[in-house]
Amino acid sequence: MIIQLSSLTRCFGSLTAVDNLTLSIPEGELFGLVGSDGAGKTTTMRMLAGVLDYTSGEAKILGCNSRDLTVVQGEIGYMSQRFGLYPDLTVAENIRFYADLFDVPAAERIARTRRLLTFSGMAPFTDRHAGRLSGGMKQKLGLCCALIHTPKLLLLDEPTNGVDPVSRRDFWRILNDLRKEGVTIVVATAYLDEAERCDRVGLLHNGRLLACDTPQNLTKLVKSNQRAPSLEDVFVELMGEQELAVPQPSIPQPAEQQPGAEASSPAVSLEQISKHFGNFIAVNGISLTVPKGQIFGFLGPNGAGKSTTIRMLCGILSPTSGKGSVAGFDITAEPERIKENIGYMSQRFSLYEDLTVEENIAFYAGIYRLAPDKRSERTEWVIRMAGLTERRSSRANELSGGWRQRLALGCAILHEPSIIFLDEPTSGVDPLSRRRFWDLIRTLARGGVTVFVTTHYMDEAEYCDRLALIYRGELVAVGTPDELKKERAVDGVLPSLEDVFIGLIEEHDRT
Amino acid sequence: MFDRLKAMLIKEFIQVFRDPRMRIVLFVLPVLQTVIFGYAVNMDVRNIPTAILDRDNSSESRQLAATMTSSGYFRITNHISSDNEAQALLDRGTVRVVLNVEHGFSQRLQRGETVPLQVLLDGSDSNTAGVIMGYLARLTTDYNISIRSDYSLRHLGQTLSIGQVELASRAWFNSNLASPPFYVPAVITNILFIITMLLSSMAIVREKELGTIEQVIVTPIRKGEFILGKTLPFVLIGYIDVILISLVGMLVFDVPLRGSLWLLFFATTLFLMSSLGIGLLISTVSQTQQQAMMSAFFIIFPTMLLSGFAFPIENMPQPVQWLTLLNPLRFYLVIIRGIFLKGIGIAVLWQQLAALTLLGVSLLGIAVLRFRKTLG
Repeated sequence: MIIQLSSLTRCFGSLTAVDNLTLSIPEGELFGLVGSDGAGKTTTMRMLAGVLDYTSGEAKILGCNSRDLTVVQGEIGYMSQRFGLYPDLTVAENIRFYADLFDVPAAERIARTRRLLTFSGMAPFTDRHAGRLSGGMKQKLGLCCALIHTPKLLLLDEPTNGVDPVSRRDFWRILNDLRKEGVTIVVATAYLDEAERCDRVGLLHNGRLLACDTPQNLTKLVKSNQRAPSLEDVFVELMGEQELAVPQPSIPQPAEQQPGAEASSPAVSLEQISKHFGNFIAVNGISLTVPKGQIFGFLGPNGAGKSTTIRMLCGILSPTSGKGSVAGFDITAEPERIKENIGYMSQRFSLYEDLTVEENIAFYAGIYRLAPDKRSERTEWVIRMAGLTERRSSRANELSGGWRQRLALGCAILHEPSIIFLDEPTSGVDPLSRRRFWDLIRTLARGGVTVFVTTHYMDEAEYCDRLALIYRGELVAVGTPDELKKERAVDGVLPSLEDVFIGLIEEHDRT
Repeated sequence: MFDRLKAMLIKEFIQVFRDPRMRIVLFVLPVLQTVIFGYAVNMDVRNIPTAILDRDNSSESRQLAATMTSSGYFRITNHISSDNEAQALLDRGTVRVVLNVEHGFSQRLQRGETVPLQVLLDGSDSNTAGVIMGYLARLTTDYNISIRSDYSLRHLGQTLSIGQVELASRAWFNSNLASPPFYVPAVITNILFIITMLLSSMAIVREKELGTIEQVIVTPIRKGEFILGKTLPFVLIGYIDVILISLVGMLVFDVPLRGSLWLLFFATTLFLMSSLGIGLLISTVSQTQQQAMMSAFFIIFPTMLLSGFAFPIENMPQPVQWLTLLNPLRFYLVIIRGIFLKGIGIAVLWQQLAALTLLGVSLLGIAVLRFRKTLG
């Protein structure tokens, strides 16, 4: 066994981050550790890498106690969430630095560097500064640095977080090649589709291992008679059992919407809108229209210009050129009128951490000037919608991802806006909360609210009425999910949205 | 009407007072600092450690030493016998003054000669050295008078009576020339400046860093409402600190408050416009709390050193004196010392008040104009 954990526990004060974890991983296995934010993935990975001490239990890594890994340190490659790349050093200099740290002899270093660079497709960028690489390339460079001393065991903590689908696919191709060479790999991830590619998967929730098996066996755990249950269904089901105590929120219908300036105008319309930051073109001539009452999905890899576009629509960033209107108001001339009619939720769920649930709601109720009678009615509505009845006096920083997300949504739609903008509303949230969140969104849309949402989860894109794909600031495709799939169908077989997405991006890169 | 402002204020107060560290920083530290500074920041020179190299060892030389110790300014800590010892003591800073009484001191005096008395001073602290030389000059004069009257008594059988001038000085506003009445008002100005400027700049930048500002600026809140909501709490905290520090000064250090309390508050309001204006300006140019902190420190030091709190502005080179006209602390310091010690009012202080108003309105105005309800 490469890794042998028995009753491994780690506490931070009163919080048990990892609870009684027993697990063994044999040589050559690709093991996936799956869980949402705060599930204990990073804590586990750090204990495996020997950089964090455990509270009780035992962890044996390559036969050594993880409290003292000095002997086997050279056999372990560890890539933390923010792998320590030096932005001012070039790709080659970064690799060389890590090679020197591990005392790799010069001849060997040169040979291995060449091999790793070819293998990862980074060879053309040897002289580029790490700080100027894209997210996906940074991850690949991080991996090269972690592999320079040819470790037996590779520990990867969320290596593909926030990386676009194309780079993610490349990354997994590399991992597969490494596995063939006999490297044992433990990878922590929040993406369940990635977990399906592992030999075995451990589902971690609130520090406890809910299940651990091959993906095939895990899907058999689903009791409901779905035809082809995915790992996500497994997760939702297993976690659902754990969270039975949480009351299912009943979703009240929002009240009748006030019409915008012109009842017949589309909710959002953009004409050749661009935004430049210095020399950098973040958004390049995007035009699109979103009719009222639609769920409009805005897809694209990190840095494609999604957030920039949403911010221009919300009137908090002024476009360099082009025209646009939201709720019938011009985005450059009347940003303050727009703000009265929209709800906006940024990807960081910007709540005041030191304020309680009720205080957060009261703050936004005051800012939106809700009438006193309306105020208590809407407060109750948000608290019920978010399922926070029992936690109304908890501080926001005590809430877990899903609750925070629903509270942030509640604060953003307290004033019953006719259009809501959601910027990656589900990043880092567990699958169960994600499902609940999308139920809410669909209920709102049925009530006539227009929803403009960005995401990089392809399964979520399926929930949208219409999609737009944006890449490097340009609009690559617009259409309903079915239309997009049909355009790229091969012999009548519809590809997945992810394949569509990757295909379109590759096509765009060629032109 | 004031719904949004009210919501902002409630939020800000909860945030400030919920954090126990913040409560200490805002209310306990200023009081502690006043107490510590009040005792420590003291320019009085007393009990100067002194070494004496007495090669004469006569009654005259001992009388000289006695004159010095009885004055209260000097304390003979070492009796030494060589120049090397004197050097070592001065090097180590054990003594500040070495008196060198040459052999034959008493004999030459008795012969009616003028005898040199060598004094070695530690001049590294030029200010203290200057004060010590003043004391020594006075003591030497006293000593001369006493040996002269002794001489006349012994040789002429009567005391010499010649007319002489006696100095009758009275220090106005601070009759004991004590340090606290001069420094406590300065501590008020400095603490008020640091707290309001630093915290107001951090408060907005913190929202930027956490991303909460993004959520707030997509609401219909007006710029003015946001800025007022962010600054009013610090105005209130500023008043509380002024009261706290004044009370400590009056009760612990007997600092008199001779002027009008209302004028003090009015001047404080004018001053807060400047310090909050600077804080806001910093927050418009900083993206992280660390940047805000750095910018604030670069402003704090020159502002404090060039305010006249310890170093008189009149002694500064002319160009620097012009520069201090941009320093709100300089004017506030004159006002606050005037109110505390001299009990003067608007009739005397109107120029400083006008300058503060001008600075406050322009700084706050620039900050508000620069503040945008947009990102990037």
